[in-house]
Amino acid sequence: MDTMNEQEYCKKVQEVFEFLLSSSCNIHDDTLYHKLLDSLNGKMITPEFAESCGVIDFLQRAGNNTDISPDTLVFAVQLVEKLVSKLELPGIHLDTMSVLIETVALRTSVDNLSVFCALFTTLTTILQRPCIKEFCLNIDFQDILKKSFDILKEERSIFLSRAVSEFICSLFSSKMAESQEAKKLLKELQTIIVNFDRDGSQRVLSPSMLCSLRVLEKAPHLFNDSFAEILDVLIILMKIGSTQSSTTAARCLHSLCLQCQDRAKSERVKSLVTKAIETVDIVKGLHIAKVLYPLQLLERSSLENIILKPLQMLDKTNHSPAMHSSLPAVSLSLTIVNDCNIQKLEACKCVAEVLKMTENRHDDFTGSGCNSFTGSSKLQIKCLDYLGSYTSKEVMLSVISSISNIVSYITEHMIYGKCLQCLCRLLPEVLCSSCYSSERSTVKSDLSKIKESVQRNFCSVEWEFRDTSCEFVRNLMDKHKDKEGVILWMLDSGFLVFACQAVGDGESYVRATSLSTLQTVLLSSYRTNLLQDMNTTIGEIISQVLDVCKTDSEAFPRRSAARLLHHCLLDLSYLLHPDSIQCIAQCFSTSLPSDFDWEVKLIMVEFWCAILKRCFDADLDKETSDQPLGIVVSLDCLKNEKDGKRGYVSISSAINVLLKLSCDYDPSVSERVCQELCWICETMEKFVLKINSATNDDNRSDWCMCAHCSQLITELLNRMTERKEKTRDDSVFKTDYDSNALSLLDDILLLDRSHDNNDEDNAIDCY
Amino acid sequence: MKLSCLSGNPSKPCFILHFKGVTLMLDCGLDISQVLKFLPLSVVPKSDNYDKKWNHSDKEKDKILGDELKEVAGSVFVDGSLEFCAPEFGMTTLSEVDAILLSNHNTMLALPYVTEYSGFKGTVYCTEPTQQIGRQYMEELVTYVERNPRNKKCSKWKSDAILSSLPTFLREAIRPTAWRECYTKHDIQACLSRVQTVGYNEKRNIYGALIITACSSGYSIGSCNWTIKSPYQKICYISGTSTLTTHPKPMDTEPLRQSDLIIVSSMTKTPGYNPDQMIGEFCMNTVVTIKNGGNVLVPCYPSGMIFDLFECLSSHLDSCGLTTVPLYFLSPVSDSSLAYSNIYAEWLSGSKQSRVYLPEPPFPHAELVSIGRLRQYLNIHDGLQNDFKSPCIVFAGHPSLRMGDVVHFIELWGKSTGNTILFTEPDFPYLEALAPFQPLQMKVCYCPIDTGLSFSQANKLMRDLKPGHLVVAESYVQPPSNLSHKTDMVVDYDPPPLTYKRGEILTLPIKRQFETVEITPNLAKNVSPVEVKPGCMVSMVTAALNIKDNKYTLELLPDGHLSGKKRRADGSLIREKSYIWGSLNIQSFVDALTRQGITDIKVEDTEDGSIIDLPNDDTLIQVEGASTHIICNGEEIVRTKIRDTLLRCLQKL
Repeated sequence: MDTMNEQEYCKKVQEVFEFLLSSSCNIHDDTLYHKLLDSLNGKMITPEFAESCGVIDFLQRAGNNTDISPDTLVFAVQLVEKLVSKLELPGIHLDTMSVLIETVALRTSVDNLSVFCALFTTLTTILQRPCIKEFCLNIDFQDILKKSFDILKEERSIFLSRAVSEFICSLFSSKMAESQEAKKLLKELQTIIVNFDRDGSQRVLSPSMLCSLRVLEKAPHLFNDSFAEILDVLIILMKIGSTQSSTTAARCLHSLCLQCQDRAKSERVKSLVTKAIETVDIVKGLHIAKVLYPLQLLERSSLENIILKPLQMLDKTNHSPAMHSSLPAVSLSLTIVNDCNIQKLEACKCVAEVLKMTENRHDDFTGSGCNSFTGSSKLQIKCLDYLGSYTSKEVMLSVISSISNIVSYITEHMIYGKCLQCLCRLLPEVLCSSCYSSERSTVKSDLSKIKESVQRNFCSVEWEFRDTSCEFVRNLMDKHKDKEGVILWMLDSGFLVFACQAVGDGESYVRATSLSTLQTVLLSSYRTNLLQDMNTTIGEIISQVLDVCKTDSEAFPRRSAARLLHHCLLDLSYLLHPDSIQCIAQCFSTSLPSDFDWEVKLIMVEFWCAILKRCFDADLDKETSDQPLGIVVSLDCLKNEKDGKRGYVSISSAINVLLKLSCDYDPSVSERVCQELCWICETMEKFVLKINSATNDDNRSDWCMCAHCSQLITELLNRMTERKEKTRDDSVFKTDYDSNALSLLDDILLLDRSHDNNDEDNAIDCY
Repeated sequence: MKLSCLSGNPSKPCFILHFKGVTLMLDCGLDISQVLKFLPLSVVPKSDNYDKKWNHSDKEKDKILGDELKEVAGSVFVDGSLEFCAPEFGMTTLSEVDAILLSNHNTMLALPYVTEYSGFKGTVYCTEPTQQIGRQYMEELVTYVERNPRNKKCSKWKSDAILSSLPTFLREAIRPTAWRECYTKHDIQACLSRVQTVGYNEKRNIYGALIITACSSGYSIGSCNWTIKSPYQKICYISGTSTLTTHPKPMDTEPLRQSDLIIVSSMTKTPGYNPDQMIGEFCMNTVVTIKNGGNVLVPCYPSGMIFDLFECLSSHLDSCGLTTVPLYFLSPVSDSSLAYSNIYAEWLSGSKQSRVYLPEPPFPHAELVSIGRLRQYLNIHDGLQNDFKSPCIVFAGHPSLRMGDVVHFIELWGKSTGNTILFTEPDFPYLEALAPFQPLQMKVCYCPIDTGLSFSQANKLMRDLKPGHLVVAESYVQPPSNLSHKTDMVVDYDPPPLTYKRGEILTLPIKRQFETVEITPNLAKNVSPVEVKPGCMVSMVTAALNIKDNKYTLELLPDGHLSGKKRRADGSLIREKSYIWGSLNIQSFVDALTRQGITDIKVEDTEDGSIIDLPNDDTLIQVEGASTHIICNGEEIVRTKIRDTLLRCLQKL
């Protein structure tokens, strides 16, 4: 910011502060306070600047003024937080701020919840700063702590309780932890825990108890004096408390155990926790096990037993209604198995069994063989999530069988997608397994069932199914590109033909996925076989995709089509017929740069930049490595290209398109082009120098210097110069608040004036 | 009031209703499923491979049977001209039927048997689309039967002695001796010439006794339910009804309310299949086959659900990028079927109607025809060879697979695993339909689409309509045999529904208590009514009751008759009797008794009236609301005195 603007800014900030402190302040939109806070936070680089802006004066006056609005008070307190956390403030400024804090803490009514929330959040920040002790010299810290404890006990708003709890927790990890006031508070917290109502009537914990437990969890060493009583309370809480209380107690116990120097004590904690976890009900046991699993308080194997218990207890043959009641436990168990990522055979077996029980079978309709798990999408999703990340070989075939049954009667595309994800992962192993080649194995029929279902879903009435099926084919080729067995199975299933036919699908998302699949086909090492299977050629595909680029009304397919052509031209140009290259180049230079979709245009930018990069790199390396330019890129100019030199993309085309896109109405496109143009310009300058320094005509012939090309280069350089100037000018004065702080201040002051004029109606009319 | 059930198939109903002296036939459905017992009629001559004779194990019987039965793929079929199981017309005298009410095109195919072969003299009522679409169905049937006829009529196998020893499939045939050959095109013309078309909610008078009204049933174009009303009773007949949103005008429930009795027939034949899901399955299976390079064969009727199939399938083909796959529609009436569907806008759903105002044809198949994607042919020789392009989707009749062009396509495509036959019509069990074509390589999919009322829809509808009584088919009150555990698949109503089955006559629980009688002005002039209670006037009338066209009129007695003098059969006069009415005023009665010289009268009020004690005459008179008892010691003079006094205190006519 130059000096001129700085002065203006400071002046306006002072005016704004004046307005905020006035009794007429009427800012109803609190986002303005936040914006102002952000703006000041950005600008306050030194304490001196803060002073010259009147910030310190504002805080002082706010501390002495009892009439200011609560919103302004909140703003002032938050401003203190920002300043303290950012700047090394001199003592005199700290004094001013501590006066404000004390005034707010002791003279403001606790009913102003937002003020107190801001106060304790600010205090929490200050506690972590080196200046805390200096800050506390001027305030009655004892009173603030007392107030905070009272607020906790009064159980006011949840936000306030949380802010206070955070403050108290921070206190014991700050420099003030050793103060007398803190020690006194600690005693009280200990008392709260020790005096916890053990008869079970208090299932939901009070904020003060929760806060005490949080302090205990964070700083267990402070509670050594009453270890036995606290241990007793925690064990009881784990047994009888709500799920949340139990898990909090479990965390505290872990923390308590960790800091125990005495081995006997820590063993006692472990044994009590083990006993407690065995006596609680199964769901609570699961919650506790979930908390303890990553903490290593107990042996992981014993926790795994607890977590898998609901799954192991299921009687697969008994389809009695009693099973219905076990549904929540099974569901929770599966969630924990997933969350804790228990990738073990035993867990895998259990999950596979549950998945089997959820299978939608054909006999559902006739009623036999149903249980309360049948068709449960919730369980299916959890099982498939797990099996999608880990499946042991022992259960692989069972999972495939379940998947085949589930997809045969599928009605939810989410589950269908997860089934296919899982299948995609398992397929290579299944196809290589000895069972697959065995005549007696059912895996072949299972895979054949899956094949039929996927084929049907390629033709489903719901587009999500068609899309998921296409995506499956793409994933198969993408993830198993070097696995011949998978590719052969896929070809045998006819999926590829279905996926590629979907280019003409009625739903744009399906068309887009189909085009992405085609791209994977073309980039695959089995390209020739795949194209043979599809009974098509690369040229036919290119012409089909070009058609999509030019005629598709939806953006998604055009994006996929553009990406496909981009990769084809860069990586497979040697396979393309010159005519195809010509068509793509034409499409990329004329049709797609004027596309309505910004992302299509960005793909164009990427493409042309890649072309230029390749061209420059090849040319610069020419002398040393003698690397060929490649069939795609030519240094010939656009004029030659038009004259019928087919199969080449000229450098001038690239620059032409980029220049056009640099003026695009969409800022995300123009910004990106301008970024790219920087390095292009630099490289071009090198080229011009190189050409100018060339002595003989042979060297000069590589680079066209016709009038058209020279004009292009000049234009490019001019554009860059313009941009540099523009960015310099635009750095301060933008209409956005984030970049133009003055406009925010003006807007706030406008509220003041509109109030003075009392002409609000007219102001609205003007707008 | 009686209801006779003539049909064994509740989806092809035929009832006779005797109501107020009028005999009505409700629907006249023809059960075609018996044609499954016969060998198919091949379209291309000499192409049939059905010449392996079936040998009866009993030599004697085998000799009698001759070569009437053929064996194909382990099943036995009749190798004779097709026959149909007409309703049990013998249960009634058809010449006495006054009118026939037809609900939709599906329930009228037996009509020519009634109108042309039974002396029927009444009128047939149906909506215009029902008449036209019914005509198409009949003409298609007759064309199929007559086009490649099998002239041999087989009847030896029907004799009880032989039938009982035949394989189950034939043994199960219901009264095969009563099966009839198909009628002719002439019969169709003659039969339909007796039809009087009605519009929805148009009232028609049947001999002055009943008013009949057709109201939309939402099942097909022009389909209707009937209300049959007399001044004091209302009966509704619900047949072929759909509450789903398809192309026809939605069901109109309002006219069906407040009825004394509702007769329900033609509910869904496939309660285990959801029509929406089945349409999805149909589209999906079609596209899978096409994408695999195979052809799809859809056995179908020439109208009805096929219009929805065209619409859903074409849009699904579009959405799957198969915009160039041709759809061939083969039926002897395909041209008229497609043409008629587009001119019945007022009988269609709101959305279809609104297209007409754009103006666009109501059905999208009109556009499909115009762009050449849907092509219709009268038969396979109607230029199909010139346009034929594979893979394709062929819609062809008949769904029984025993006649029509579909037979040719099964023979043509049946050997290839890439092709698929998709059953959507629920009238025929698909495995039985396919039996003579086995072994079949082509894929078979069963996606029955029946938009008729499901059990839950029917129960909901009845709870809404609240009829006094409900009459349903016997099969509707127990779960379907293949879904016996689905106890909710029954019609459930309170009072429990009455049930009907073939050959049964039900006495309907409706008693006629009142009749409206008009009175001529001349007679009315002589009547002096007396108000017996507020709003109720009574008078004695002597008049002649004239009944004409089921209208009752009281007229003055013709001159020459002795007015006001009733005579016995022997000519002696009957003493004129007066009718007493009104309630007794105790005080007036006591005063009157006193005037007659009875003294010391004591009156005691009781709960129901009063007791008058005449101690001097040893008599008690107990006066209650509707009766008076006089208990005296048998002295005749006192009894007469009291009686006369009492009569004087009452009013009389």
